[in-house]
Amino acid sequence: MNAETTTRLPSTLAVVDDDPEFSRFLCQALTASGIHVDRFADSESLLCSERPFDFDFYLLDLMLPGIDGLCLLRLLRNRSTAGVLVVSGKLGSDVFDQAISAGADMHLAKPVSVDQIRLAVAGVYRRSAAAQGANPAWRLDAARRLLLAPGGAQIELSPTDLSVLGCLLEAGGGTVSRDTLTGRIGLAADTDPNLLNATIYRLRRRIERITEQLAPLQTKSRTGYVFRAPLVRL
Amino acid sequence: MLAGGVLCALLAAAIWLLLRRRHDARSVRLWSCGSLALAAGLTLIGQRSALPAWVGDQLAYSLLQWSLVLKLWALRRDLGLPLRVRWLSTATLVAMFAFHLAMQSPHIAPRAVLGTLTLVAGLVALAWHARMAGQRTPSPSGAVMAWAESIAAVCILSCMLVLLGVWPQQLALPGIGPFAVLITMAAFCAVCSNLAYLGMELDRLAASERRARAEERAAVTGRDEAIKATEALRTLLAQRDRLVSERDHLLQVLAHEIRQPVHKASAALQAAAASLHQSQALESKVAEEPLLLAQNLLGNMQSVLDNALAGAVLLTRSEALATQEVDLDLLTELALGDLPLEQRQRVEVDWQTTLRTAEIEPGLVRLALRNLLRNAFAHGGAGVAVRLVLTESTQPARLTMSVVDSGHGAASAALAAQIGSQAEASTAMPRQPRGMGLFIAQRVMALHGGELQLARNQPQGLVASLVFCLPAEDEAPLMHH
Repeated sequence: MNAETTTRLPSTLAVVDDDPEFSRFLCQALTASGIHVDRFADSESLLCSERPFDFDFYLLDLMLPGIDGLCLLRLLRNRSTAGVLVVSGKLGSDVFDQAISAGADMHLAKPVSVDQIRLAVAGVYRRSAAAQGANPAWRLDAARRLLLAPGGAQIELSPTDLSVLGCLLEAGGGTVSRDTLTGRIGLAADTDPNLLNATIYRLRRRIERITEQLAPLQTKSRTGYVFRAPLVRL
Repeated sequence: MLAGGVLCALLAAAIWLLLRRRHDARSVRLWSCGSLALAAGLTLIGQRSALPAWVGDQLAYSLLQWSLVLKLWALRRDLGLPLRVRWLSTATLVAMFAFHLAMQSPHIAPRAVLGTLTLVAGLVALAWHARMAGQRTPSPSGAVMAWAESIAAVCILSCMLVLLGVWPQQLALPGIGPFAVLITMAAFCAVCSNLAYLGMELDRLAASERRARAEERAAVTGRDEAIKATEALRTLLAQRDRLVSERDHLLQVLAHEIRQPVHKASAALQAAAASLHQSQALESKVAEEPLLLAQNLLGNMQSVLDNALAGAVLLTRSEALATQEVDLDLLTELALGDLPLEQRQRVEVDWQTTLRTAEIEPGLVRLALRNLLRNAFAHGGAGVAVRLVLTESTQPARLTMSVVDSGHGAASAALAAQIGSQAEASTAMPRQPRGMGLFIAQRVMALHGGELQLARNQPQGLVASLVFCLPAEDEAPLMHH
């Protein structure tokens, strides 16, 4: 594997699953990996707990008694930027779309092994705001049209890239809608959406070529884009 | 005599009034004008003794000739035949000129013969057209008109024979002059002809009405049938919706009630394996092997189940695929995690690209990749070496994830043909798991706008590649700076 293989895991993790056997075994395995895991049998248990929104990571089932997984996911997204992994046996062509649109960082279909869940937790956490927030900031040098990675690597930017990053910087880590970005880079509203995708892809590719670090420029499915790392202007 | 002419004139006016809005206006005008000319001609002939010769004979003859021509044009127009205006006009003018010359002769024979023959020729032509029009409509009035014109022709011929002395005047009609007989008969025939024309047009209108009614009936019948067909279609659609709903419910049951226990069993086996692995007892080491076998069997079962469910639910979507930006290393690790431990350890991952993320539907691509890896081990035989190679090309921009095996794989052409036939009949699921796996991989790639490529690995084995299209790296000019 050529990419950076960081095995950083979240410190605290909440498992919300109504399957007691599986969640017990999963909690044991994750605890063995050094994570402090709290297990909840349903959404209400989590929401009524002492600090429901302070976990570093959430692992949710979708089919939960009471408040279902998607509702819980939306609630969490309103209050937390922690990584969320959905592990569900729910079947349907739109399950993935629903989960991602509601704010999940990843969806894994059951059956899935504990090792795979651990990998996914590590992978999602690596990209999550919580993990990225601990890193030094990326710097945008508009005058020289450069993006400076925390390690010092310099990424040359096109005028379009500069506009995109300027927009993301102004959002302060929030999601910038596709419409906003489309207008910012001078595309008409009815332009082929693939043009914006291609622009973002090229920028991300340029970052990946120059630096070993993960490109924090992430896509929010059908919504927009987010820069999941501190970004400041020089 | 005058009454005959007036009657003809009145009939002409009646025809024009009755038919001008129900039939072709130009035909009606031609026929009415022809009838008026005939009425005028007959009136002049009837008054010829009190009129100068150029009026009583020459003008009357001209009016009769033109009446025949006008009626002929009317019928030809109704029949859809060319009017031949120039030819008929010239012939008529020539006949008029010839009659004028004949009038200069002191003898009656030239004008009688010429006038009779030209008029008879016109009447015969009119009778022939009337018969055709009657057949075309169809209407018995056509035959009546043909008979009326024929009788008029016979009358004119008889009159000529009397005038020339071939027939004695007494033989024709004792005590009555030949012109009187001629005019009476001609007026009678003209009235019959006009009535026949009217009858023919009324028959045509009646036929049109019958056709319209038949069409209306057909339309009503068609509408009723369409309503019935719509109802039947609605019933079928409701039935289909119910069946689809039942199918979805069954699939949900299959997914939850079968996969959930499998999931639990898998977790329990993993827990047991972990416990045994930590234990140092000899019995534990002995138990590890059958436990591993059980895990592998369960993994195979999961794979088949996942493929079946993916084929039934995930890949039959009509809406656009939702995608997500996924780390490729995580994706490959997850796909490898679907393999039994022994196979997982034998896969060499070869990164030939610096690309780290891709926008895909990770669940489906993981399934496709797992199928290719499982296929490689399934058909590669014992000791097969399997490599997972990730490459990137710029012209065209593509990301390729290839599973390369060194085993005795089936010929790529045969596999490609197998895939093609399955794609054509997408509902026909192959029975062999290997075929199903490739089919699923092909559908997954189609949903991603990419393709599954199969090729021979030299010197032996198979290369199965998932090829994703990437945006071109050359930036298009988006802004004006």
